[in-house]
Amino acid sequence: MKLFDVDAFREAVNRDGEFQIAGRFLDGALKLHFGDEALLLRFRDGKVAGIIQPTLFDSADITIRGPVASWQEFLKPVPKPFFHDMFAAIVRKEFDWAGNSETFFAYYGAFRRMFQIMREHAKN
Amino acid sequence: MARHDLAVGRYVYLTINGVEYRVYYEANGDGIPLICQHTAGAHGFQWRHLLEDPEITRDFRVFAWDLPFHGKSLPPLGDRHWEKPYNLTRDFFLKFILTFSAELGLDRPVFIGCSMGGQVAVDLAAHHPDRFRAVIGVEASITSPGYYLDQFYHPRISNEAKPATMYGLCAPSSPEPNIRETIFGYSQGAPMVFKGDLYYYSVEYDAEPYVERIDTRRCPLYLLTGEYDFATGPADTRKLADRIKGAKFIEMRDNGHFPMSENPRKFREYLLPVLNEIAGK
Repeated sequence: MKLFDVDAFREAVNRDGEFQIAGRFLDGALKLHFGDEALLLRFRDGKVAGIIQPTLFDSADITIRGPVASWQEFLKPVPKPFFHDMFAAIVRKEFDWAGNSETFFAYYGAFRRMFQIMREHAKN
Repeated sequence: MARHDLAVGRYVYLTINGVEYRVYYEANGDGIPLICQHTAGAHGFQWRHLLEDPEITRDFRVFAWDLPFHGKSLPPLGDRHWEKPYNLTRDFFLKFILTFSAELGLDRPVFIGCSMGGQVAVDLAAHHPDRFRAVIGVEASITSPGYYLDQFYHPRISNEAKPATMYGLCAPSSPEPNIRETIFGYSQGAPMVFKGDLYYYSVEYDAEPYVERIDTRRCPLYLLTGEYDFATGPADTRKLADRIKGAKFIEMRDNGHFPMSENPRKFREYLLPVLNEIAGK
């Protein structure tokens, strides 16, 4: 993964106080598509249990998809308007999402914080 | 000696459509009345920095209320509200603002409102221009469809979802403590209120049929929008302003959808010249 340091990101998410609160009881999987590349994040009891490159048949509760250029803008320390937040970027159609909307809304606070941590571990 | 906030809060009884409401509001200052409408699902706390700003309160008497069902304004005792869905209608919203103004004896106040308050500023300019000295719409647009979402009032989604999604409406440059205060207000709302308010914002409000009939000679209209507001962004407000002769549009850098509470210092840089112009200074 060229966009961010996956191992450091995972460790930072799991020790982050805000994520631990917002992500409590979170179980499931989030698939992120960065152009042609994808990562599957598995959550168990509010922790990132693993991050893998998924096969075609690995399912996820939520999938978020965007071109590499959109992720690069999103991961800047101060992105331009509407790339500064995933909910904003989805509403403004900079990213596509699919999956379980109940999980998406219930855990958006955790995902939002997780994306901020991803931004903090972006590779320039 | 205790250090008090300068705003003083109290309750007023207002009757709208035959139902009596006990309405909480805060006020401070002297001069031209300036009445402030909070955003959907929030309450009057959003205007607390304006209420304490000496450069504003020396020329304006600032009022900020909690709409019924919001903040400290409880639901009415005289209505079986629990038997029907809560939806904020244009009829109620306009009558509430006009009734508040009339009952407090305010002489052609200046109205400022944000988000749904920005949209109702446009409605007031269109339908009641002679009742106001000027109106200021913050984060306003011609329409704002798509936000009357079940996810904002769902038994299996807690009140945490609202502040989480509101975070992204703030600019990344806004001070973190102010962002957190702003979104905390969204966790305070009764479960049905945010979605119910969005009925006006996203379903009923549509200025398209009358936008070009707004007469800014009768009621000056100012439109201020933050650059990071993804709900009603600067381009949306520009489209509105371009359709109204005499409307003044100002894009606010380093601000989002809640400028008065997410970045009040930056907001006042844009608001003070507008208020000074209204005050004839």
